[in-house]
Amino acid sequence: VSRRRAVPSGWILAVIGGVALAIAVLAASTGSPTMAERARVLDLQLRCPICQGVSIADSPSESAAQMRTIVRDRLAAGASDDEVRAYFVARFGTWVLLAPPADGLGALLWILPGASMLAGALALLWPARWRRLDVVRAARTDVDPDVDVDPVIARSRWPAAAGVGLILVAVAVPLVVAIAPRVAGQEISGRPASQTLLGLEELVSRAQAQPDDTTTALDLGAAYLDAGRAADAAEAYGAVLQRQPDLVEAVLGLGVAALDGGRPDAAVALFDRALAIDPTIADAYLYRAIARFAVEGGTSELTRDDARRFSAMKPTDPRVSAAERLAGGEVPARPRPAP
Amino acid sequence: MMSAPADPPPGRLPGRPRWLVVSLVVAALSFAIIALGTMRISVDTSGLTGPQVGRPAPDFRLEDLDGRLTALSDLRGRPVVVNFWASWCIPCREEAPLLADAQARYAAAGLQVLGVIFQDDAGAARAFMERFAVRYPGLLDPDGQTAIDYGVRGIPETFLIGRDGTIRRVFLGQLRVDTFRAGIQELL
Repeated sequence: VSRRRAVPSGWILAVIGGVALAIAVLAASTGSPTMAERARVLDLQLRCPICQGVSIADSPSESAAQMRTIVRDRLAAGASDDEVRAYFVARFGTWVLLAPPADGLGALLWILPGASMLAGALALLWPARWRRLDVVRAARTDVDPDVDVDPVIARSRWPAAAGVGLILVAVAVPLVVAIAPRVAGQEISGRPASQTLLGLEELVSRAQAQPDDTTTALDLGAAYLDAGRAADAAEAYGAVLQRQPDLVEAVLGLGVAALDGGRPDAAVALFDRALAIDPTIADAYLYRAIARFAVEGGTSELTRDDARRFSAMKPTDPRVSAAERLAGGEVPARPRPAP
Repeated sequence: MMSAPADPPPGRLPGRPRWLVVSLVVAALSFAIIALGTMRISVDTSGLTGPQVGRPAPDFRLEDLDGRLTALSDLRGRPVVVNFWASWCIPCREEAPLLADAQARYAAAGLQVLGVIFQDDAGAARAFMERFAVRYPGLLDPDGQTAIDYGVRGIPETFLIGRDGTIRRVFLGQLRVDTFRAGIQELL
């Protein structure tokens, strides 16, 4: 273990650093860029607002084209690059910059991965010499068998452990930051489906055991409807409404029970009530159309509007064909909800 | 580079190498901290976060499908809902009845809903408005400047603007009945 063997690795580091510095100096000292070049660079820095993680330079979308036009218009009007970026940040927030700003919390994102990568690499490389020393030290125990070798060997692994950990951090930080906004964007709004795999008997016994459990009562109502027992379904939904008069699922279910039970006039009123609570319940439009058809004995303008509204709101729903037939004046059967 | 975790040397109790456990724990902890930090932002659906909240609503003067001009500044003193939509956007269709309902329900209190049509064909937009009985203006934004001024990130996107012309809430994506109505109650 001579000193001479350690020197070349220092030289390699120095050469790499020197080359990196030279490249940086060269890049900075090339002549001032043309307006088209500045615009191109800005395009690459700005996020296309309606795309997923793409710059406005890389997106064919209309929004991106409009933003590229604004970049060029503002540069032509004499704006600096910072002013162009500020124009978009004022509207979209710093989110619009594909590279996070290098201040505040953003600075951490810039520094942490690089710093951990460097520290990790050093921790991995450095102890190579220490380990050799440890081996030498351990070899001495051949002379003195009372010396405990194990702690020495175990300790020699700690820097390597730190190195691996730091490199994992360096990889994890940018990865999480890149993925997280996408996951957040995938938030799906909607109400939970009350589909259950339990059989009717099991639901009945559950509802008896827990009469105040809303989910079970709603599932029981749906199961009764599927079994063609409209009166029992109405009772289950009615019990829920006693406790929660504005629970839209129960109002809707009670309406379907009234429809199936041969009381379309009551059903129309219940679907009206459901839609007053939440006008975005597509099913209520379809069922109200069916109920109104039964009351009026044909397809009126209101029935057609409701049926078409359902088709527009749920274009991929299997019940759309039933809605379209209804809008066309055909006698409807109550279509089953989508599985 | 690094020494492979060798079998435990004789005389040492066998077990999981400590260095591996420690490095994995460090990595998992840092991952969890960052993930939690970003998660906390993503679950907020109140419409109270977002760069536009608290700022003056950018003014616009746009024509509707029948050529009538509407300017936001003319509505100062009234609560306004600005909704960016398109007929090709499915969540826009699902929330359209809620906006039409809000216009009907709160018109007496001065509320004005304005739709800004986002990258859509005028004929398709007109059919959409008829289908959902939309009684508020559908404004054309031909060069997309209004969408950019509002920092629209995708549609639907809905802005609740107070009587003083300040943006109070911004809803990204399909409106939820509860938070939307709560937001409107605050404006009235």
